[in-house]
Amino acid sequence: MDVEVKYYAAAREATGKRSEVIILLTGSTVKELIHVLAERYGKPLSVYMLGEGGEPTDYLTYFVGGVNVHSLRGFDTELKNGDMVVIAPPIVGG
Amino acid sequence: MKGFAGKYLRVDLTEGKLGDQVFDEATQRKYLGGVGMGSKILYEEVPPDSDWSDPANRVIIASGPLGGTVVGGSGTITIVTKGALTGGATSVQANGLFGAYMRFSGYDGIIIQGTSPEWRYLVLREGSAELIDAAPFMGLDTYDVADALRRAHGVKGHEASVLSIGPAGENLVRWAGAFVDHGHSASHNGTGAVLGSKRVKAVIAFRKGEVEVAEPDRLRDVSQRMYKEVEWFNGTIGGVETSYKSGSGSLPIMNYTTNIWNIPQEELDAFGAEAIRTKYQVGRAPCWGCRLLHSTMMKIPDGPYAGVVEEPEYEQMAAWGPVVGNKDVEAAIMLSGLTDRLGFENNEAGWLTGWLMECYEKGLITEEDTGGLQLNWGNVDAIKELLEMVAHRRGFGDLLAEGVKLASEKMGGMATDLAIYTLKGNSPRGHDHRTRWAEMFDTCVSSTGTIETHMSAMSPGAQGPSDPVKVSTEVATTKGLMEFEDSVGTCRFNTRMNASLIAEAVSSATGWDFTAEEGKRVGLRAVNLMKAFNLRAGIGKELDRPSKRYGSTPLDGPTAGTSIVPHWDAMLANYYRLMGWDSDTGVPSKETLKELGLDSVIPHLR
Repeated sequence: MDVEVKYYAAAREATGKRSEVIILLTGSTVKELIHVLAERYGKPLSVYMLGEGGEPTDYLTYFVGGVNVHSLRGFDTELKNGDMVVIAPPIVGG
Repeated sequence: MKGFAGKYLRVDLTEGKLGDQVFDEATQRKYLGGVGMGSKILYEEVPPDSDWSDPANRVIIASGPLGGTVVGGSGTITIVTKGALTGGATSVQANGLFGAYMRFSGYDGIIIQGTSPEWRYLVLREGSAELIDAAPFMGLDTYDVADALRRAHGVKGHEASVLSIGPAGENLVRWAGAFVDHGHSASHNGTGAVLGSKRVKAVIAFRKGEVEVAEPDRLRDVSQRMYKEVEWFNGTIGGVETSYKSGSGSLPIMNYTTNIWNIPQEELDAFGAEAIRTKYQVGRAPCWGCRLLHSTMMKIPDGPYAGVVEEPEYEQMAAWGPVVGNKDVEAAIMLSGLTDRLGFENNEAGWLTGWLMECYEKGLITEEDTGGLQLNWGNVDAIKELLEMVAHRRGFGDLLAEGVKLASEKMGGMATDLAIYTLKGNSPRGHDHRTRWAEMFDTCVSSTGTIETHMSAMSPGAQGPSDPVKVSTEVATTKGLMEFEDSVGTCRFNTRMNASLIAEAVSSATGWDFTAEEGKRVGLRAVNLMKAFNLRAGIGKELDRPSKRYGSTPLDGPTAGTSIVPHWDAMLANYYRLMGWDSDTGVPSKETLKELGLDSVIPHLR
């Protein structure tokens, strides 16, 4: 399946891209997408996405269809064909 | 001078006189506006040993060279004063429209000094200003006084913008704030109390006029690029849900007594952004130039909490949700609106109430002390009544009006150990900072009455809780970015401390060749001026620390057992050194001050 990923701030700098289409296996989760991207772009991106144990962190903010993943099923949120995933900077409060 | 309205309004309330103050171009470039200019005026004019309520205190309300332009969120103002909680410098921001309209009215800022014999409000319109009797508006809350002033001047909707204080400010509650229109708060460190001490109820500015910029097409292009960086942002109102579900441990729960919130799934889901917007959003109320989904109007149609509220921020929902043990999202929304209307700073409101509830639950205070209020966790009706008592300094409310630090010290005994605050006297923002070391550390070392840098500018792992060297290093190395942004008149959600883009926007507005490095120096200048001001006011290293409960070790949750406290002294020394300050005392060095063009400060700190 295809998902469109839009990058902002640190993720944009690390990938050199504003957006791209990523091909994933059907039923992939946000966590799996993160691992795909971390592997593709290496440390420049993975440093923002993964903790020391290799698990996704909350340093960046992830939206699926405009909704924060933690309002869905967190990093276990399953993606669908055509989903838009936004990878944004941390939201610190307000 | 392009990019500037060209003057500040000087208001001498004691003499009842208004006048224009013009700063030369070199000064405008060195300080820009906002906290840059405000910290310069504060340092030069306010005696460091004066009281916050002294007529000699100043309230500086300033925009900057981007105020009222096409840049998104450029209606923001910064308020600088000697604050009522810390007795030191204050720098706080409110978004909305006021900064833009103040600039359209012909003023880059307002400098208020003295004390008026009678209550007044200020009118800014088409290059001139007037002080008018505020008697008909006294006692009105911040929403109502804004509406009433617009009606009194024959304007509707967004044709005028009002900065005001509510009953809390009128009654000199130390943690009273200042509010723009409905719900835009510039309130840390008692800005409302200071305005109240001067008997200034409000300022109204009208939409007529414009600011001329040097390169309008270039500025339009820069502002579009700025927008493309932030277009994903859709507010903070859902932060209670996402913070708790993320498992980070940063949601503050019941006065830091736990990191486990016993809330049914359905009620937690109700705190989500989608859930709230779908059910309650009735309209949008964007700030000047802003295209983001953020400031909306929310209506609770019926039930005990019915009413219309300007969209609460995450920290308000955190304060009136988990901090006080309330699980009802409608109650949290209502209390957020009530806090703004009465004119309170919402972080302090939450920590004070949470502390009281813990004291009540532990039997340290009783109904006899509280005037009959049953301050059990989550008792929303009691909170409503408590806020009214404090706003009017009635009964028990008179002690609580002094703020959580002073009230807890007065109460004494075990109650003192339970309160959350910095030793300077201000309270932190609405997270459990025991998992966000960078924010706890910055809140404690800050000279502004709130944070002085921003975690979003730090690299992964620098927020904590983990590497104390990395945390204290990045708190130092990111200093100045926030203050640069807060000197130009824009909203942080729109410009996100992107120094390159902000500098390019400043160049476009003014015609200068202004760089990000120059901008960071403007910010560091403000940081050092406020530090020097505080040192001269007797606020030194010993107060750069958390209270016992604020710096406590989490008992449960993902960061149970971890503590920043053992690392504190080493973090302070590292931070001071990297700031170019004496690593033992925190006093800015001669070299640091010279480098920033603050030579005149050197003899004061010998």
